Amino acid sequence: MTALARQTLRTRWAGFLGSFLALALGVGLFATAGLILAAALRGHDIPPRWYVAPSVVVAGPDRAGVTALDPADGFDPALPPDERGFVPAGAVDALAGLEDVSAVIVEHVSYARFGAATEARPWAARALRPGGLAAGGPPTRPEHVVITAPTETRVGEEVTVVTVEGPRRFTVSGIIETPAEPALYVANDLAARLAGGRVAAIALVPAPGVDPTTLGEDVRAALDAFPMLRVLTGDDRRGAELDPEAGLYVGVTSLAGSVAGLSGFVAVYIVAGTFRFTVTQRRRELALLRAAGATPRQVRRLVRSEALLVGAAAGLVGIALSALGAPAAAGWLAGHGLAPTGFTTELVWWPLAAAYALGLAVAVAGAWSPARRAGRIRPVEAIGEATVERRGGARAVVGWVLGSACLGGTIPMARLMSGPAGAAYLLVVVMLLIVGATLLLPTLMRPVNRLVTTGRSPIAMLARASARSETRRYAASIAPVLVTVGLAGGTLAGTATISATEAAGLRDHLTAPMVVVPAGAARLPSGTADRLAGLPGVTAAVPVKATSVFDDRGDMVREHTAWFVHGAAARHVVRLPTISGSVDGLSAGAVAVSASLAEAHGWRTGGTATLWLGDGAAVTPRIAAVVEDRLGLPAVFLPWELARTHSTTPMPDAVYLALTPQAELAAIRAAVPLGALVTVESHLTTLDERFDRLNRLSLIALLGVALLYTAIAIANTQLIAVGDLTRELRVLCQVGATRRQALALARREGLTVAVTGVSLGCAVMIGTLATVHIALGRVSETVRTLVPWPPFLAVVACCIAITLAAGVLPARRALRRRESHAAGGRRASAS
Amino acid sequence: MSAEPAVRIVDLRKIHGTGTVAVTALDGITLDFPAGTFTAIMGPSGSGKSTLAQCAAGLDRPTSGEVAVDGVLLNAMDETELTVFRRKRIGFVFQAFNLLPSLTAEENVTLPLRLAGARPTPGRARVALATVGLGDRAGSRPSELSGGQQQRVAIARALVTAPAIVFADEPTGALDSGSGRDVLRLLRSLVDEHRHTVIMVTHDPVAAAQADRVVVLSDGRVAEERTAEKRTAEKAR
Repeated sequence: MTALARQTLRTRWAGFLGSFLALALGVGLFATAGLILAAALRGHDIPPRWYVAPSVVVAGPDRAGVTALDPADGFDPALPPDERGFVPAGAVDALAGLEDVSAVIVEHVSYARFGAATEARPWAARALRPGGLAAGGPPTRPEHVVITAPTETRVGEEVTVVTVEGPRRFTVSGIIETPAEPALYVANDLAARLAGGRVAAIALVPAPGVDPTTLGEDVRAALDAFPMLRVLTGDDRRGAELDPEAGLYVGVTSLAGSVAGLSGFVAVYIVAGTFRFTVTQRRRELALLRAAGATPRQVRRLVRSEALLVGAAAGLVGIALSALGAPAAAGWLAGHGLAPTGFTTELVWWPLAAAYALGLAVAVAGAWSPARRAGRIRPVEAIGEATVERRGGARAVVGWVLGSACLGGTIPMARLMSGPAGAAYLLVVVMLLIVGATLLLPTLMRPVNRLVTTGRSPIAMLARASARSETRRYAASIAPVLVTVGLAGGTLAGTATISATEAAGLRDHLTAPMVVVPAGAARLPSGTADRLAGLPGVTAAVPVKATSVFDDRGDMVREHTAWFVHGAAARHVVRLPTISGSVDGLSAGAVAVSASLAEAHGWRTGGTATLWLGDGAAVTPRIAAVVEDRLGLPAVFLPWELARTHSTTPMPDAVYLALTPQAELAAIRAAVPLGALVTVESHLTTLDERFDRLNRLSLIALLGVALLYTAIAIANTQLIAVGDLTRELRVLCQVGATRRQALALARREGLTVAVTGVSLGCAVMIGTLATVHIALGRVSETVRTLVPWPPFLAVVACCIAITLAAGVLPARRALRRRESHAAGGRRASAS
Repeated sequence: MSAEPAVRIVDLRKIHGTGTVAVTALDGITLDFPAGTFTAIMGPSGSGKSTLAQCAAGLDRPTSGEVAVDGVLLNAMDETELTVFRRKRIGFVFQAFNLLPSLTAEENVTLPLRLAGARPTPGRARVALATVGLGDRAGSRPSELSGGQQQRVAIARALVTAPAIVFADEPTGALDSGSGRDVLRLLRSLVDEHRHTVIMVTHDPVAAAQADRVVVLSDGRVAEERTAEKRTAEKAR
């Protein structure tokens, strides 16, 4: 049978081109996403930038959920990219007596911005980097700073550095040249003070001749009492460094993951549909095989072998495509700020192998049920003229049950979507609706078809008749339109509605009229709020900084959004729907949590919560208030005091102001030289715009390629279907239809397919919006439905244009050929 | 024989392809088909008999020569005019029936009328179907009919516009002998009872025996012409 399959493939190449194309593109898409994913994951493998000289580095936890009793496991979530875990002071003492160590360097790292540098580090840590002083000397006094070359600044010059405490005057005592990252080196004592005494890492320089790995084992043993600390050697030491682009790596990883998931889904969907369709198209040929003596088993094996051969060949092409596509995609992502600058992919075997395996699996799975159906073809079908399909009763029932199950599956999704990671479930909802609609397609398309083909003209009658009787051809052609429009509509409208509602939620709850935000790249000093609160006419100045907290529900540790906020004054700037307790009590050692979080843990006001903060530290604060879940508001409100001890940069994102009419804006502006005083509304608009831009770009990255794929699939199926259609058109011409009438029918059929697909795609979008409404209704006072019409309509227009073009142009050519050649009755037989 | 033949073809030539691959299908054929007669066109495969029927019926265009149906010259017509004329004046029956599978027998029969922009009364299709003995199968799809029944629906379709001439290209080719006989008897009765002109392409001598006249083609030329009297005389001998 394999030999026969190979033979069939060779002679019926055109017929298999559709399946081949669908599969090759699917594998290419999946492999591209995989290569991007591999590159994003590899991002951390590059050598350390700070710890260049041989050393053993002790660093705080890089994951949440770690306790002394329960060390990190691989499934615990990573800390937010801009937060680091700290090393407790006791660890320094524990390492004091260690042998074979030539130096112990305590790294106090704090925010400090001057030139390209963003961190202040102790002068002692310079020993860990190669290079030396190019000019001047070490910082011996608190007002001394050593900067890194290249720089315009000269030794002895006075500079202003923005530190955690605010702008501070320094004198440049020296300039060092080093291949390490630019940094500001200050006196050790000052570095410790700016860092609030918190230790970012301890580096141990081994005595001459001592292997760092051996020393590492000694260090680990010495730190027996601190199991949450990491002891790092070699390239692993990069794990102790905060990567400013780590956030982008996380973003690319999740984006590539979504693209891989989506492209996998689309590939399975399209390929399965295409295989099913080609088998339907070859019914007579397979019946001839049966008539010639092939057993049903042999026919099944033939169809499956063909699928395997197509899969094997198409997979190779797909992989070749990804080798071209992945670097281009990486360049695009980096160019649009979605990936770190210089982000590139490398040809790694595992994503390619995975994509190839997926291609084979999809081909075999896609051919499974068509093969079974092919096995049931009766030999007599080769002789009869009949091409009208009979509808299988059992199959229809299975389709109904599965389709309804998919549609019903969105109900539990709505529940998950109102949770913290709601948007992540949007794609799942859209996919469920698409699969459900596709399974119910034979039923759902009927009323739409009837509507589109009304009319008393002979063309309408013919279109109506074929839509009625050739459900399979129609369903196969409609499906790719449905998936394209559904995918575009569902995700576009879903994301837009979620983010619009989120933005609206934040607007609804912020009552402050004005806000101070960083004017430039430098952050607001930690004392900004205190300074503003003292000004006349300022009722309240509330610093807010977004962060993450983690909780453990027994099964897994989850990340939640949180704000560090000045509790007592918060009620003046933000309206919090408290259920019990009061946010006024939000001071050191107390937090406010959302109702869903409280419910999940059985927490009550006055009780104790168990949480991990952004630095991975486990805390057990008192619960001062339980607040209703509201989109736009975080799940946990943390007191500002905790930011000082647990945030890597304890500086506010924004300071919200409640003002009396006596407030002098000029005085406020004068008090915050680094800040800009703007209305809350304009601040939120800026945030929205920035968010929308990123969101739109991610959507383009996510949807763009998938839509391109489905668009090709539309043309693909139309071209496969057009063989049947032209046969019908030829017959029509022979019984007296003019060329115009025949083309009108081709157009009408194309239009029926397009309109039905678009209608059902719109139904998917409406279903998605309904699910989003139900989900957001629980966590938001008003849901703002937003459909991004221009891109959606563009997708719809493209679908219609492609369907019509792919349906009409080949028919036009076929009919023209007919005119020049003979339209022989013999040739036009329905073979 | 009437002065005006139903179909007149003069020096008809048809060459498929060009240059070295050119194949001459018809090599200067001149024939008259008188109205109200049944002519069979015979000949071996590749003799050009189907091409002749298609050119005469306006389905295909000759390379040179004239075709006049009912005294109207087809050569000068453009594709649309030709289609409209064919729709009104010519019926064609194919070997492979060429029914549209999605339409019922009745819908198939009335299709030419609908394509011509007429709104057929149900009666008209019934009459046409009754003529071919399928009055009770109007609602059936082609897949629910036997081959002979399908061919009879195709004949009803060819008749529904009341054409001057009915062409039939191997009408019994795809049928068993019983169904084939029914179809031939039906074609014969069209001539005898309804005064239609029938031109039938066939390679089957049994089918040709139903005709008033047999034209035998060979290599695109008329090799032999026999009338029924001659045939009868041969038989008697």
